[in-house]
Amino acid sequence: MASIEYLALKRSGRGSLWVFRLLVFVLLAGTGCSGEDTEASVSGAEEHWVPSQRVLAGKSPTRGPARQWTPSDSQARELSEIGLSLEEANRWATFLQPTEQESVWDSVDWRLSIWEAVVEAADTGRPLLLFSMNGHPEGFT
Amino acid sequence: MLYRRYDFTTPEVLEAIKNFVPVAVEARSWQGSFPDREKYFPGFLDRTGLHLFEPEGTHGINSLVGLFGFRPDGTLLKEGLVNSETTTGSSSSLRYLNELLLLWNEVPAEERGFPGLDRTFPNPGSYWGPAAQAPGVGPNCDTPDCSLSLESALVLKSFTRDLPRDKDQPSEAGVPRRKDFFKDTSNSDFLLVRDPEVLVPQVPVVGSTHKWPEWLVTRLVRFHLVDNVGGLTMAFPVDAVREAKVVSLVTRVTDQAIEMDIVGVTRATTRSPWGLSQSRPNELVEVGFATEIRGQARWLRQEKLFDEFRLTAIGNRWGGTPQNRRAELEFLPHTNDLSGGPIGVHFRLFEGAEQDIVAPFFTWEGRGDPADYWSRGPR
Repeated sequence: MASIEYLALKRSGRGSLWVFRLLVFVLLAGTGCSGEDTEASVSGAEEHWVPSQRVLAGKSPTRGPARQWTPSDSQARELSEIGLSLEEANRWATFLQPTEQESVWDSVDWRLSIWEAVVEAADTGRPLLLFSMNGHPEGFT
Repeated sequence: MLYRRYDFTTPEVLEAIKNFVPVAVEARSWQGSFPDREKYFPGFLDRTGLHLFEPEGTHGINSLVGLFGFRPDGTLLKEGLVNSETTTGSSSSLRYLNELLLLWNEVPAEERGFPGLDRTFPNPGSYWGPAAQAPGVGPNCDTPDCSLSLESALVLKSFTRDLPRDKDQPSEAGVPRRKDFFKDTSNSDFLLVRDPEVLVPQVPVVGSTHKWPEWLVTRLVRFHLVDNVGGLTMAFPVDAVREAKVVSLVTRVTDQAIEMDIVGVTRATTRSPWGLSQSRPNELVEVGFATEIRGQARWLRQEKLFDEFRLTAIGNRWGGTPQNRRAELEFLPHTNDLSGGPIGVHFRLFEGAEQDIVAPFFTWEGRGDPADYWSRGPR
């Protein structure tokens, strides 16, 4: 059996710091298409990937976004060397989401049905404005 | 995405739009629907004249992109403002909207409606409808993905952006990489899981890990961890998935809820079968996307749904696809950003109305194979 230690970090917004030390078995039985669990007292037949301690602890020789590299399978850096922590992920989450100005688009009440828009336009005496885009303007464009 | 950023960012444009009933459509599906006359109110399509539009150039069925103004009965008010680099911008949009309003004000009051509108005419539904039926999967589909209902589904909206870079590196082709071109650009998509309980351990034990189903992680890596920052892109083929591991780590269990951290690593890489652009179809490059994932979620045990779900994938991308502008020598601005850079994708719970949900991009006709997207089969 192999075991890892899972070190939980401070949970943002919770106001409390807690640390677990437990044993996790990395071998377990894998079955079909459903999710698979590990439990502290269960051993199984198939290997089940468990994040390395380095990954969980967010330790990394380089902080911030990964540097660029020349891509090839043999040259790609192991992601476990980068180590994304939960705190880092939450900071990037803020960066990745649209700003207030970028969200101006969403402030327009776009209808997604031409049929419904036609009926509304006829009822309210307004013209139709149709925005057509490669991909969907309300999603992936 | 470019046009959302440029075209609708000023209060004046927003104010002008209030005079219209605005509707947003997917260009390919819209143009592709013209032969299906029965989807439109009788006479509507004829009055637009757009069904006579002949696709030109390399964009073909994607040619009708931009803004179009109509009377309610479909009569085109003015030739559309078709998006291009030279017309994109809020000033262009505002000018066009004002021109439409002037033309509308000249329409006699008795012609501003839709005479003979048949309200019993079948509503073909929004663009969610067809995709929700997962066409291509088949009538005997026996997975939850065939269901039309979103009532208990986990619906996530994703946001993709380049991460900050130190400086522009000169490219070998003499074309600047133009990292600034992508700097303020982002794109979105929807990801949904109709049976979200697959992400939750049946017997939750604090400290235990629950492996995500392979079909779901594969779907995530192939279709959602993709470089769409600069525009449309391609999904990874199944054999491009080199690493796809995501687990939920149970951190807290109560009678009401199960709280989990989410951890994962992903990597997809392939020798591009798509070429770099319509003008460079034979240039095949390696395309890749590698990330590390962290997130958190909370599952309500009685309600059987997630009331908190956020997931962030941070990593690198490299290569380019025909329309994502990483190697653009056809349309301005020219870019050459193939050697890669940091990128991130964030997924959060979608809390809007169900009618505002757009089906995942790669389920759309002409954009991907829905049966492939919804597949839960082995890789």
